[in-house]
Amino acid sequence: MGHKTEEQLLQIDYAPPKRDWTDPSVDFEARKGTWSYPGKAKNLQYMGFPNPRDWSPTDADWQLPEGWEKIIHDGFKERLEKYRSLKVFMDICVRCGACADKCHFYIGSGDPKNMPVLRAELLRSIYRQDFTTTGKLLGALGGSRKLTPEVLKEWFYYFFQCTECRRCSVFCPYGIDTAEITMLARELLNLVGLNINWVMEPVANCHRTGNHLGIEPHTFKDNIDFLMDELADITGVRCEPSINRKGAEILFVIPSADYFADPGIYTFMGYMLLFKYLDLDITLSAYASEGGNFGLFTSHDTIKKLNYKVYHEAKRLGVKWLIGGECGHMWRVLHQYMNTMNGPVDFLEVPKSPITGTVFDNARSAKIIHICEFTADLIKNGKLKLDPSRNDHRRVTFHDSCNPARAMGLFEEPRYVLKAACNHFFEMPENTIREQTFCCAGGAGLGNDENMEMRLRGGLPRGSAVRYVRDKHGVNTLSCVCAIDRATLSGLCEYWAPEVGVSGVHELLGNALVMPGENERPTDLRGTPIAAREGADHA
Amino acid sequence: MPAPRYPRAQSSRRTPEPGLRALLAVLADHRERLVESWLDAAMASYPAEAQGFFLKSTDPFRNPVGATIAGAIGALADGFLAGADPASLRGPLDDIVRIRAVQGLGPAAALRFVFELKQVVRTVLAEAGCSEKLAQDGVFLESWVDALGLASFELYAAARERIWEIRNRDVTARTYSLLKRAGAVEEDDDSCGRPVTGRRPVHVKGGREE
Ligand code: SF4
Ligand code: SF4
Repeated sequence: MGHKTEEQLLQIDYAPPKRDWTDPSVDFEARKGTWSYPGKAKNLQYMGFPNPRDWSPTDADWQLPEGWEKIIHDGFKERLEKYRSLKVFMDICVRCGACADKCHFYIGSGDPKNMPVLRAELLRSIYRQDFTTTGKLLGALGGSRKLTPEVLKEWFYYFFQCTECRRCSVFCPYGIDTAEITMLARELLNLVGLNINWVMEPVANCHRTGNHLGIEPHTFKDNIDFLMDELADITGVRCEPSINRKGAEILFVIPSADYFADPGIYTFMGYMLLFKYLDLDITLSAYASEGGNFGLFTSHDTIKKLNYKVYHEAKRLGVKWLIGGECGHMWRVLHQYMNTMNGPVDFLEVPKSPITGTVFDNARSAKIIHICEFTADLIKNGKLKLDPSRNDHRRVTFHDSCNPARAMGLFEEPRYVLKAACNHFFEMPENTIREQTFCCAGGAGLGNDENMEMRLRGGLPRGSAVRYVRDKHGVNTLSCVCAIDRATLSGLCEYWAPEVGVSGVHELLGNALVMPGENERPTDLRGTPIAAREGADHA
Repeated sequence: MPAPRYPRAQSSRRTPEPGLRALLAVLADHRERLVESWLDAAMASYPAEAQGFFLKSTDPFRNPVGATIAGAIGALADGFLAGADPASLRGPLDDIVRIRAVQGLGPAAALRFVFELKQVVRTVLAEAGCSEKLAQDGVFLESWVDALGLASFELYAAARERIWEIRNRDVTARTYSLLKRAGAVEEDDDSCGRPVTGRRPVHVKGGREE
């Protein structure tokens, strides 16, 4: 061995050792802040889910049920037969790498297993071993692995590090959708009792009372009354929304965060002002009191179970059609799944705006429209008196939420509403919006506290774009149409783009909407003084 | 592409000693090499696959980690070469530290890059055949890096504290109207100081102040 100089002796290699991706081990203790607490036994019991027990990912023994290998194998087999897409996705990836650097979690962390291609490979390697001849024959050489408890732990870690945002699928030449792979991997994990409480608790609560917080109908009503008192104080206008009113024309479904959480409540106030302004024949339901459906992050059966209340309430109340409020994954479930999962919704009619007469042909089969479609149509037809200068203290940008934007193509309507309601609107850079939008990093059940470090890592791409428009245009408001976003982007901005607040689209519409008989309105719906109003002509 | 974020580094009020000027002048001639080696040192804490990605694209939206760290290392190097007061470089330093504070590196690995400037300078001088400059002006290098290191400790601690503040605020925000209706929260009197932005600072009555 050659003699080392002092210089060389001082050079210590700090680089992490290169790891073989097939090694599944995850040090949960060292990675606190990047995983979510497991589902509590009581919630699994409530849902009748298998293997309820209290455990922690830092335990050496995860108390898997007897015969867990067979349970996973059979579950996998069943799903390969049932979902043709899963089989195709398992077979056709050519590992071209186009998706590799498109995931916000990889972009923010550099952890190779956050690359969509490798995330999928975690499942695919087992597929090869169990379901393909070459995989069986070639073993590790053919990219297969044996299913071990360590592999399940790795699945738990990485499939609960995917927000099912679908950004990667936009770039895959074969249209492989890693979000769907994640959904099915989570279904498999659920079969052996591996899930997270931030999903299981809302699921169990929803099943019991209809909403994530487990709030019962009287509290639902009291809370709405309380918000309407506050709204009357601010605007001088009293709104009295109907609840459970049979025979109403429209059922309005919203996420519970709109009537509980800051800043969702201001969006709720915006909706209520709009409905009052139009004297719209619309009702809320204290049973369908949650549009959010964490079944989407659990299993197809659970989506169906939890959404049934919306279907049933529409039927029971005898409404003609539905409007969905500002919630991302809710919109996906209601618009894309309800008709086939719970439906057909053949007792409903094609939505037709009673104000403008517009028939929403795009909703001919689903019978539900998004509130932004409804409002954009009103504005287009000149039905709303708006004073956008009441939002002059806000310099606004728009975050495309993954589900409404990438999965559903709802790009223009929210922007149309915002531009009518605000004088200062600025887009974030092209490769961070519309179908290329970056996730809030808190969707699919990952928006909990214990996972905060992972959320902030994954939130960096969105945060960088927000910071950019903050610095360039003085943007101070990040607007969006999703309750999860409103919750998670608030923290994200606090960290990556301080001084930018988060608001819903209909909050800003509510600020601008000139209500008959209203007060002077020196403040916006949050009680923030509208500085720019001084000396301005009040409509 | 975004405008450069950092203002030109200010020279320290004290003019560098003549010898020191010579040291910095040698290094300034090798600025590119200095920046490149410093960046490599910072990137060494990431997995090999990720280093390639972080170093590849300069698009701050496709690759915010790499682009931010590269830009900020450049600004710090320029500050060093200008003999700037490290306190004036908190902007770029914070940009790097804030990212590394959420990447699971732990404080030592997250901040090691600051101290690696010493080794980088030694190497660059050795390559330029000017190692003797260090004997004269090593004290400047040592104290400059120490000052930057101390600033990075503060920024790291602030970033970690901010994560906990965000977690706390998340908890009250989630059920804000329920808490308010129950009279369990009261708004912070200072909230009018930050009218549009952020979540309303609230105190949970009887609880720890946020
Ligand atoms: S769906 Fe989103 S979170 Fe999941 S792997 Fe793809 S880009 Fe990443
Ligand atoms: S882009 Fe598609 S085919 Fe290419 S590696 Fe990713 S999943 Fe596989």
